[in-house]
Order: sequence, then structure tokens, then C-alpha cells
Amino acid sequence: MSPEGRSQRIAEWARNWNAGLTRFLRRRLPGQIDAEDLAQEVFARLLRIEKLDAIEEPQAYLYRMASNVAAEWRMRACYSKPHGSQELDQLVAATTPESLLSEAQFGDQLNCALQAMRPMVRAVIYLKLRDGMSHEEIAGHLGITNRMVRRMLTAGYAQLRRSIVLD
Amino acid sequence: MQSGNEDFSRGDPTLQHASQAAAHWLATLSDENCSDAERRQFFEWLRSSTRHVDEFLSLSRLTRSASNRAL
Repeated sequence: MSPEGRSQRIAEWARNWNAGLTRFLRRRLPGQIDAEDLAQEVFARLLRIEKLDAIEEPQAYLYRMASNVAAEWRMRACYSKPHGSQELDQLVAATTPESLLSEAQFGDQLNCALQAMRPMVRAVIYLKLRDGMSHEEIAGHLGITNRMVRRMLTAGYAQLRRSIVLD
Repeated sequence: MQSGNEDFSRGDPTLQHASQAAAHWLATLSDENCSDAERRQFFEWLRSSTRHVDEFLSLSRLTRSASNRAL
């Protein structure tokens, strides 16, 4: 694989920020690397930004920042151990039994969480996550207020977080 | 298959509180009518604890994964 192709695939993995990349990083950097460490780094950078109020899309901004941190760690990891590319290629190319299992587990937990939701909460979650509707569209579709959409979405997100085990 | 989230079943109140707040902020920020004042409040909340950053990123990742699947 060309260096450009590899870095694109690595960037894609960093963006998805999945367990495989975390494991890869963990093996290549001293000490334990996990989402909490990444959050610490993001937090430290957030504290250095003066004009946070001017940021238009906070979630996208934050996610980009987290992706950048992950990518920087990946760069450092490559410099510290240059012969890891073969393993990384295998990692990005293969759908291993382990990742399939993890995917299946995620699906099971997601379905359980959805089934346990109140019908209106489930409907709002479907319309938001599956159909990508705006809050106003959801409100119009279900005949509820925007305020209710926020409340239902909050309840649904909290339930997903409680029910699904993260890496 | 694991039947739930161990961190939550252990009943860590700080985690539960941070998680609930993260859910609230994710729902608020995805509202096209989210106000500038709300965005400022979000950043105040975010900057007040690494736990908040951690929870918000975890929830964002989780909802993104859910969204990418055919629900």
C-alpha cells in the first residue's frame, strides 16, 4: 500500500476512533492509552482556546479535535516503531472474528436498548439517528413540540449510554 | 453477551450525572434552534471537568455508531 493510501486509511480509523486503533496505540505508547487519556488531552487543549464562544458547531469541532489528537498519537507511534505497518495493514483491512463479534454485540445491545425505550422516545431516536431529521421535522412528524423533541432525545441518548458497553 | 453497562450498574453517581448532562447537551446542540447562550453554557460545562469531555465524546461516538447502522 502507498504511504498516502495508508495514511488515508489510518486517518479514517482515527476518525472512527475504534477499539482496534486504541489497541494499536496502546501497544505502541508507554503506559495505558484509552479514551479517558484522549479526553484529558482534548480537555487540556480546550482550556487553551480563548474564544470558544465563537465556535459554530461545538460537537463537530470537538470531534475534530479528538480526531487530531488520535492522529498525532498515531504519528508518534509510527516514529517510535516504524516496522508496525504490516500489522496496521492487517488491522485496517481485515474484519477479524473479534471485530465481527464486537459488531454483533453492539447490534444486540443497541436493539435491546431501543426495545426498552418508551415508544415516543424510540420514535424520536429513529427519526434522528436513522432518518437524520431536524428537530422541527421530528416535531412536525410526531405532532409534538420542539421542547419535547429535546427531552425525548435526551432520554433516548441517556438510555443508549446506560445500555451499551463502550470499548 | 454482556447484559448492560457495568460502569452504570455499579451506580457511580458522578458518571451517571455526567452522562445525563452529556445526553442533554448532545440533544441541545443537535437542535437547529440552539441559541448562542446555550452553546456558551455547553462550553462552560465542558471545560469544568475532564469527565464531561470524556462522557460527551463517548456519547457522540456511540450515537454516531448507532446512526451508521441500519437501525
